[in-house]
Amino acid sequence: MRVEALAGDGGDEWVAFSALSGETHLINETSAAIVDLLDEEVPASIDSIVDRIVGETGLPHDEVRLLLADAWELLLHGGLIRAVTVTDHHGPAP
Amino acid sequence: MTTDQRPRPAVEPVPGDVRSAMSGGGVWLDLGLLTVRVRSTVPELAAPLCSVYPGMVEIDPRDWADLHVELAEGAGPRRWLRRQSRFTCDGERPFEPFPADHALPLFEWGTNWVLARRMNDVLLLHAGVLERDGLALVMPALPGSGKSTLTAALSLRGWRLLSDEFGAFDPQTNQFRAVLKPVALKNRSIEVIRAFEPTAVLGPEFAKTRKGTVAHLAPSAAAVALRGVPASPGAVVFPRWQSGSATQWLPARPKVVFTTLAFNAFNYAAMGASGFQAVVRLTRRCPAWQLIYSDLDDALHTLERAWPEVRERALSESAP
Repeated sequence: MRVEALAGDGGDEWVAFSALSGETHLINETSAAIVDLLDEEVPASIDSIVDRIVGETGLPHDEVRLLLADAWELLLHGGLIRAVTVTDHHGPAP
Repeated sequence: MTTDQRPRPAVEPVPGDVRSAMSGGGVWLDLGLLTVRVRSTVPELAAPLCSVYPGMVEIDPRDWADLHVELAEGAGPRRWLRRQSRFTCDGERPFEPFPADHALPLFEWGTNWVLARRMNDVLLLHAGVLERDGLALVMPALPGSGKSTLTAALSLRGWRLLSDEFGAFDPQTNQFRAVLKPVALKNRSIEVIRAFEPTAVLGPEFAKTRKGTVAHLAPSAAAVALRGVPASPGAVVFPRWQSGSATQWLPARPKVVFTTLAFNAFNYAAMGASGFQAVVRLTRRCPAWQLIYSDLDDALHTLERAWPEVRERALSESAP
């Protein structure tokens, strides 16, 4: 997954490209931050993502959770992230 | 793809020689990005081909051509009643036969069709591209945009034409390369350009084609001489001709630039990540505007006034 800002100085217009599907998506800054934080190989829980953003931005926990609430469905729908069932800490279920 | 650096013959071949060569080994057209070998048994092709590709038709065989295209007369008894020409490239025949006297439009559309499907080592935008100060002005083709008319007009006012159809962006060098072909003008645009520049060199008019009447504007001698010289990304302009409208020059948002460039590229999907990164780089690099106009002269003046800003921005970005 490649995520790029469209303006040289960042801004809220980003694009993501999935080499797997060949699809390109216009996304906002919040979604770009989530995709950037995720590792393609290792799943992460919503709580851990919220914790990392709280740690990096210093924003209140509830505010970050609220900020991300709208992003999940869009990212899932666009195929930029997928939900997995984690059986142990080594990786997703087959 | 190659650009042959051999010196060009001082004397242009005459249509009779071109006709004869095309019915044998063929002639070669160096478009800048690529070379096309053309063979034809349709005698009606030679004269208009020479008139709209001035200084570009070569009889001497080259070692290499990227595309090998052929126009042949139709077979069967019907050819005695109504002569036809058929376009073929590597066994593919993308179009139904055209009347023999429409051989040039068939050659142009056929070659464009093949080009759009095969040139996958460059990002091939559907756009007019012109150069000034070493910088490319990219005008993506949206339906009814008046892109060809504006491209033709700019090329007649000192902007160097790289292409009217193909914005060929090389992701290895980050530069636009010429795919130099004549500008295809349609219907009312033909008279608009004749009135705009009475000395413009247009080939014959072909009436009742699938796009109405078409005529082709020949590239300038400078554009032909410099077709091997690339241009760096300069600006993106989305032209839109709107009857009776005052000229409007409106900034375009990056997401509009990205989506328009990507969705107007012939091979964005085929290029995968390389195409994605190329469009991202163009979007970041190029200031972009929408140009709404009805007065061609005023549209050109607007572009001329904006160009110093493009040049300054390019200079500041290239500074260490």
